[in-house]
Amino acid sequence: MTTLLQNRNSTQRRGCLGQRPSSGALPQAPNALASRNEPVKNRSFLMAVAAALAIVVASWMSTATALEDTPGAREEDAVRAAVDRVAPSVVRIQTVGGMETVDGVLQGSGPSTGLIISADGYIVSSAYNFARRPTAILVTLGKRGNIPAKLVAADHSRALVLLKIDPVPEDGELVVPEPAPASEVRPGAWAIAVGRTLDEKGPNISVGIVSAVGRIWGKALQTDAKISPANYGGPLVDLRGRVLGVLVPMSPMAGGETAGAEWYDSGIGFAVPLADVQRVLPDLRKGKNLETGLMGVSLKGRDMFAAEPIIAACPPGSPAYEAGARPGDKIVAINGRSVVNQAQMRHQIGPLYAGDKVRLTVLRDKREVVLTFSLTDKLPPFEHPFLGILPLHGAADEPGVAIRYVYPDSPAAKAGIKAGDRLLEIESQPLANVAAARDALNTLAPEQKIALLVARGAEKLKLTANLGHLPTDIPGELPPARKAVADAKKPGSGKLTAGKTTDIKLPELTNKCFAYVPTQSAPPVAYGVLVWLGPGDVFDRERTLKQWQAMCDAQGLILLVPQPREGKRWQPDDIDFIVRALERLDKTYDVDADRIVAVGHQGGGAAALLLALTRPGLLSGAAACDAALPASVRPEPIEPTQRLALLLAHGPTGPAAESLAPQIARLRELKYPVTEMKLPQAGRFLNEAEQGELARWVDSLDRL
Amino acid sequence: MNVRGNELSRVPGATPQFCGPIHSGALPQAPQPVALRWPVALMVALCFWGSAVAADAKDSVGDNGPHSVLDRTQSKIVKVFGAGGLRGLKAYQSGMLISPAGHVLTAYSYVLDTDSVTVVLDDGRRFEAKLVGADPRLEIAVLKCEATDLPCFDLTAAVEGRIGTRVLALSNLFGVATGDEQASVQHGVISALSTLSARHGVFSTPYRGSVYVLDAMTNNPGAAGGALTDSQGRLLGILGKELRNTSSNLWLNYAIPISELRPAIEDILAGKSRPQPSEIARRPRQALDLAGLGLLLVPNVTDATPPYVESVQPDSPAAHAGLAPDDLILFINGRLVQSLHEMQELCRTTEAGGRLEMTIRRGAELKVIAIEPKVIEPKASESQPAEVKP
Repeated sequence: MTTLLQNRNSTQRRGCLGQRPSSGALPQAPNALASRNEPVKNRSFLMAVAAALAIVVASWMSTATALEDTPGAREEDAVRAAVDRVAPSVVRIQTVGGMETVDGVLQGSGPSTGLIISADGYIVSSAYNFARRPTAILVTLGKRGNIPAKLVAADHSRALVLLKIDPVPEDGELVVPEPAPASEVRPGAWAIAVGRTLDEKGPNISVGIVSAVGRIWGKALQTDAKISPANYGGPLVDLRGRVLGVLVPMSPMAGGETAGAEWYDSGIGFAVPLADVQRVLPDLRKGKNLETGLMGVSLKGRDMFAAEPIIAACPPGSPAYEAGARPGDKIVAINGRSVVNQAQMRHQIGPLYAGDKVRLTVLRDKREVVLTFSLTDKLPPFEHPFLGILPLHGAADEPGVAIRYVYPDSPAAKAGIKAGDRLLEIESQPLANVAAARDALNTLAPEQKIALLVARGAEKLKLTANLGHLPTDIPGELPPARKAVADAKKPGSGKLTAGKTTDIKLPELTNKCFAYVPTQSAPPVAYGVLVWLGPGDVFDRERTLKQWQAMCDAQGLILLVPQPREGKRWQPDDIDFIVRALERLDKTYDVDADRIVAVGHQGGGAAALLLALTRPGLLSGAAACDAALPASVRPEPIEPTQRLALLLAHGPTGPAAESLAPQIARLRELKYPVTEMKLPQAGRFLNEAEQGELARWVDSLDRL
Repeated sequence: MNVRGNELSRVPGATPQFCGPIHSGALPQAPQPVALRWPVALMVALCFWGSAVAADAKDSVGDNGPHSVLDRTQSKIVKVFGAGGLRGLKAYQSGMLISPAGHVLTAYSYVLDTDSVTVVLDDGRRFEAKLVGADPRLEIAVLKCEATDLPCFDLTAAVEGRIGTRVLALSNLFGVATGDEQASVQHGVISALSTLSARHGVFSTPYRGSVYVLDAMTNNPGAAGGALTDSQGRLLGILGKELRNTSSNLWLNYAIPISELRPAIEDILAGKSRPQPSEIARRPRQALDLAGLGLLLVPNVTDATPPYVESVQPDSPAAHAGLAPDDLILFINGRLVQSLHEMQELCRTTEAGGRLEMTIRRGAELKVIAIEPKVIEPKASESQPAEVKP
């Protein structure tokens, strides 16, 4: 609200005095307001959009007089003329059969829209309309009635499909629309979304402006016209009826046919520029599906706007590795365009397809090296190597990794490493701390033979180890995780006074949530976090604390207990709350990013898995009891810089157990370390002994 | 016929199913909050801006400017308060004055299901309103306040809109305005002219006529009964109740054109009774039976199983028409049949005995096939009453 009020005086004057839309473009104010706040889900962005719309009203209302020949009336006529011009190219598409649900969501089956793109019978539409994989597709052409159509190819990068009608009507019957020249597509210009779903005879329209160009990593333009299944697949046109783009649901955060549909009619809509569609049309016509192009590099640092694009890992088999890219290389230019941060790099790579050639300029030892290679659509799954040690917590007073525990029979044990040793170097690289050791291991692979330098007392040992695979067994009793063990609270001795509980409230989100922070003995070490997601039924703070307090006290974990927003059931929206609550914790306390774990039961378990797999890099582990992955989640391959272990506890029967078997197989294919805990019966949560195992699993997740 | 408020509960249309809680949709859970929350922001923004625009315009344009257009229109919009408040149902809606004597046109809904309906004018005057009459088929009702010389819309001067027409929607959506506050104004264009009846079973409303589909977030709780005008304040239609398209899961923003309602309003004002909606009348005496035509479809595995022909009985009407196994039925009598489930629904509501025109897909080709049903002679045992044994 404040944004709006503060801007009120200045924008009001702009809207009402002089700067009325005349030549199809609005005053610059809306654009300036809209582009100032980059993140899309930003409150002030919303208000800016609202303010921008208010300007439209202001300029329009002040012109609405009794005379018919006013700028307002002329605009109305211009909009109609634009729609009339493109309407013959906008077709109605109906489908028969297909799946009922896609990604776990019941799909609508109403008519959808397509855009004629060539006179010989090709029609482009949104992939959203075909996510059901229909048995039959019918295209309605004004005079000709229904003509059967076939799906020729899909562009998975831009969520489009190409259809071909057969028979093709005679010459001249298919009207190919005129594209708007790229140079004339500017934020602030009128944009009219055209669909053909609501009325059998005519189009349906929504009027707005171009909000931005180059969105979704350079793949789409953005509009505030209302975009929904009523016009997905139809064109976004300018005031002359020239096509700006093809309307699709899209999300900067996720891919897939239905991603972004939750923003329908919200004032944030996307269209793929027509020029981009025409560029790939020859490939699509040949029946070639187009995929997003991948390089196969992971970058250092999480803040994509601050961090430089320095390669953290580049596994063998990836196109970048095969072209000669190596960890430590700093990417300075892509296809000749210089990039200084990760976001700029994504803008360059985002629009590219698998098979596209890319020229990467990297800085290595102060020299520029140019690497040229083709992007791929699929990377070999990456697997983290395993050395076989647990580091001590909070022992960063001297360089290297203080070793808390050596896994029996692990590569480390075979190499002769013992608990109490200090790991100083991996492959001759000095290790400043645990994070450095993790980074070093992220660039290596299982079965690789590596050189280690280890300190034992005053002695320094040169050892070699054959790296292994991350274990999925739960280790037995573990030694304490910190040196100052004498001061630490004994497990189970804690009462409510041991630490403190605080309620966590976040602006605009209504979820209830509390956190329990255990008291730390000196010297303080970074906290881990245990997110407990209950089944959602009865919320009992005392009982929850009793269940988890001992474990949190013993392991130095902050307990975070969020509640579903809407009553008892966890919804995908709740994930946003958990992410933001974790961010809040991270700002208030010293949190060890390598020890954040979510544990959930039933609905909460599904939420824990959803959180882990849709926000890669956030959690190091997720445990779910009596729950399976929500159907909407498609696990992505692990990134070298992100580690995620999963523990799935389930009974011998029940729906969770049934859907889990193929899911576990898939996760293992993708090289996730999945631990299965088989319970004698379904429905209940872990008993005391099983919870002890869970605690040891959590305690071992910072393994190297 | 004057229907008194307390009798409304017996009228079928008065059940609150059409106005049900908007969050209860079992379908996409996530979209709705987005679609609702944003319009609120926009609407609030417009409230602020409305006054700013009006003030500014007054200085520069005088009484002929938009200030007077909006003000004139606002004085004809009323806030209606009545029953509700339980299970997420709002106890308010909107209405518009249609006579200087205090007749109010509003939506026919559970809000009126009480003895005390209160109408609040834009200047804050409150009236206990009586229900003059209603037409549940059109989902409209007329209330009467004891007043004189009120500003009002002249229904005979209502205009027609078309696609692209710029419109204003005035209503008390979300109950933002109270007391002497003016209703919320939203702007947009007419997105499409659509006929709800053309989409069988897609909308759960008794209304079957044409609507203005609006390019604005107008139909939210409390908006029903509000006015849709053009940019010069001329009446176009009445905002309808919240309605979701069950085939696309989208909420529809729409208004019913005044021309569709005028005869009914005139009847209500004249005290004539209006027919009640009748579901029974639409049910066929004998439902269509495809098996009776010799047509056997594949088993229904899921709700989206496509209607493929499994087999055709020899020498049956279907065989004579040329239907063959593996044909995919697409249209029956011009209506798209997307699944076996829909086919069964269609048969249930179609009168048997008529000529059936089918569009089928065979291979990659579309064919139009007509089935002429045999006149089936009723068997003797069925047509004659059984003998009564002593």
